[in-house]
Amino acid sequence: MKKLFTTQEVGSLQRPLWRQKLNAPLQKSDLNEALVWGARFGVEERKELVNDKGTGLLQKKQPHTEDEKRRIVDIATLYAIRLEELSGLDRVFDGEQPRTEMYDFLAQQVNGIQTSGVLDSFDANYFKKGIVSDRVRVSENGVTTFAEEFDFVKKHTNRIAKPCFTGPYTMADWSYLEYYRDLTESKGERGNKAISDSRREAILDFARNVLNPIVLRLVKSGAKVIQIDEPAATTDERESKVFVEAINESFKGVPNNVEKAVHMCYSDYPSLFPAIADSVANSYLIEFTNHASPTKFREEDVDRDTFKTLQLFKEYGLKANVGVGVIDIHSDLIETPQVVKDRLMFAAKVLGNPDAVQVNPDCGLRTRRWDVAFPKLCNMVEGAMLARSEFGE
Amino acid sequence: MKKSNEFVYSGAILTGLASRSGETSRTHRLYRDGHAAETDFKAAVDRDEKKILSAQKAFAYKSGGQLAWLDALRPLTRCFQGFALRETGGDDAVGPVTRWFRTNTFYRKPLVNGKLDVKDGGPADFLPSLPNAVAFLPAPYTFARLVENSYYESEEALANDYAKAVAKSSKKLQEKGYRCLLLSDPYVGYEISKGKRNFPEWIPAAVSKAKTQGIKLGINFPLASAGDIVRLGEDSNADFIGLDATHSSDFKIDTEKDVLLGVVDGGRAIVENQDAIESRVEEFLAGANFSGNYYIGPNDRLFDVPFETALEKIGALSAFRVSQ
Repeated sequence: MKKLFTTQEVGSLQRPLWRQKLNAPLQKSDLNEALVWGARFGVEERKELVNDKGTGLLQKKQPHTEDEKRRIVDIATLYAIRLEELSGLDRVFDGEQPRTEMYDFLAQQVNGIQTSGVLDSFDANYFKKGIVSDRVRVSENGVTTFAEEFDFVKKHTNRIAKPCFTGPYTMADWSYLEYYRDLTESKGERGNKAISDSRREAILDFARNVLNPIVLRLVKSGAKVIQIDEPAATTDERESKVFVEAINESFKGVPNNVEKAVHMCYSDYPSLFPAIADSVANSYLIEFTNHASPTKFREEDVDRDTFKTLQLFKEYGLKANVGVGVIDIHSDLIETPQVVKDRLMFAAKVLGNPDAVQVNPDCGLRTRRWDVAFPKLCNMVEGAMLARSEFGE
Repeated sequence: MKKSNEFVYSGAILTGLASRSGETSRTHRLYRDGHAAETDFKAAVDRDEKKILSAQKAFAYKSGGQLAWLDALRPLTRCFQGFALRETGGDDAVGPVTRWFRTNTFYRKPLVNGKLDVKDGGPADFLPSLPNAVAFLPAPYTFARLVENSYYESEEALANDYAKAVAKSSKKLQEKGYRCLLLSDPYVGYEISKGKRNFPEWIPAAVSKAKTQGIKLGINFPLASAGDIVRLGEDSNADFIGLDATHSSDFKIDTEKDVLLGVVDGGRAIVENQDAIESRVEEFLAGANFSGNYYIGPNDRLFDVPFETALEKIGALSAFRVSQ
C-alpha cells in the first residue's frame, strides 16, 4: 500500500563554512561546527575532519590536495544525508553539497556556456548567469558527474535517493542566449519574434542535449524518482507550451516505473494550465507557504494563486502527485507540526485525494542555517505523521 | 519636425536599481548567515556605490544605484505609513516572495492595510546624500499593481495617496541633494505584452500628484514600445518621459516633453558600442516629434546584468557624444 504524505527535501541545504572554504583559512568556530554537527548526526567520518591529534583534514595547513578536497566534500555530503535521514525524510539526497550552485554547477558541465557574473535574485540569494556562445550540449564528463553523485548517495543511505538538477527552461532563462539570438537574427528575424524563437530553440536544446542524457544515465544507475528543478517555470507565462515540451523532451525514454518530478517555486502556476495537462511529469513540488504564519493555519490566508493551482490540478484531472510546500525557506521561524498537518489536510481536501499529496519545504533550505533547517524538517515530518493519523495510518 | 541644431543633449541618467558585485552578494550571504559583520557588508555596498558613481561621466543626474534597497518596494514599507509590518522574524515586510516581471528576481509583496502617508524622512532615509542626484521610485500605477491592498476601495485612490506621499517626501530628498525623481512604470509595458490596450484614465493624473517644486520629475516606461505609452506621460505633469528604445518598434511619437531615451539594454550581456548607441539616437531624432531636449540611459534598471557589465554599460553611456 502506498504511504500517504511522502516526505522529501526539495534539493539544497546550506553548505557549512568548512565545506565552502576549501581554499580559504578556517576559523576555530568552523572546526567546532564540524565536530558538533558530526557528533549530533553520528557521522564517524567527522574524526577525519578534526581529531585530538590535530591531523584532521580541516586542521591541516592549506592548500589541500585535490584528493583532500574531494574527501571533505564527500564527508559534507554524508552530513547532509544524515541530517535528512535523522529528520525522518522518506526521500533523501545530498543537499547539493558537492555543487557550487544550482545553475552554475550544471552550466560548468555544458559545452557552449561561458561564465558571466553574479546576479542577485532575492535578498542574500544570488545566482551566476552564463553567456551561451554556441549550441549547448552536456559534456561526457558532465553526465558522469551526476551519475557519480547519485551513486554516492545511494551507497550511503537506505532511504530512497532522489537526484535533482536544474531544468531546461530555467537553464535557458538564466542564461544570456546570445548565440541563439544571433542565429535567429541571421535568418532575418527581428524584435520580439527573434527573442521568442531564440528562446524556444535554446530551451529545447537544453532539454534534448543536456538534460535528457543525464536523466537516462540516472535511470540506468537505478534512480526510481528524478526531480527536475524549474524555479523559472512561469517567468514568461506565454511560454507554457514550450516549457511542457521541454519537460517531455527531458524525460523522453524514461520508463513508467520511474517517478518524474518537477519542482517549481514563487511562480504563477495557473498560467501553466492547460498546457501542463500534456506533460509526462507525474509529480509537482510547489511552494505553498511563502511567509504564512508558522503557528496558525487559516484557509483564508492561503494565497489565492496557490489555492487556484490545487483546484486546477483537480479540475484538469491531472494524474500527478502534488508536493505541497509546508515550510517557509525565507524565515527562521519554525513551523509547528500542527500547522504542517493543517496545510496538508487542506491540500488533501482541495485535491480531493490524500494519496496525491506529498510533503516538502517551499524550496531548497540552502537559505537557512542547519540549526534552523533541521528542526524545520523534523517538524515537517512530524506534521506529516499527524496528517497520516487522520487517515488511520 | 525639428532641425538637427534644435536638439539639445542634456546628459545620461540611470533608470533604476543597479546590480551589486559578486563580492558584495557573497558578503551579504555571509552576513545573513552570521559569518560576517554588518560593517563588512555595508563597506562592500559602499565600495560598489563608489564605483557606480565614478563610472557616471557627463551624467545629468547621478545615482549610487540604490544598492541597499534590495528591491524597489521594500524600503517603502518602512518609510511610508499604511503597510502591514511583521512583528517578529527580523523582516519588516509581510507579504509573499513574488517574481519581478519576467526576471529571476523577486520582491516581497507589501500589504497595504492603512492610509498611505510619509513617515519620518521618507525614502530619503534610505538614500545616501549625493549632489545633483536622481532617486528611483515605482510609478503610481506600477505601485498599485504590485502591492496587495486591503484598505483602499479603488486602485486609483491607492495610487493617488501613494503619489501624494511621494510628493511629501520631496523636501527631504532635496535636502540630501536629489534634484530628479524618476518614477518607473514597467507594469504598463508588461500588460501591453499580454494584450492590454486600454489603461485607466487616472494614470497621468496620479503621476502629476507626485510633482513638486525644485525637483525634476520623470516617468519611465520600460518594456513598452514608445508609441504605445507616450500619451500616458504626455498627459501628466512629468518633465520628461522615458522611452524604451530596445522594445520600441519605431519612434513615431508626438510630445511636447523632454525625452529620456533608453538606448542601453538592461537585459542583455552584450555591451552596446558607440555605433549602436548613436544609430538608436539618430533613428529616434529622425522619427520623433518632441521638445528637442533629450537624455539617454538604460531602458530599465541595470539589475539584471552582472556588476562589471553594468559598469561597462554606464561607461558606454558616459562615452556618448553628439555627432556634429
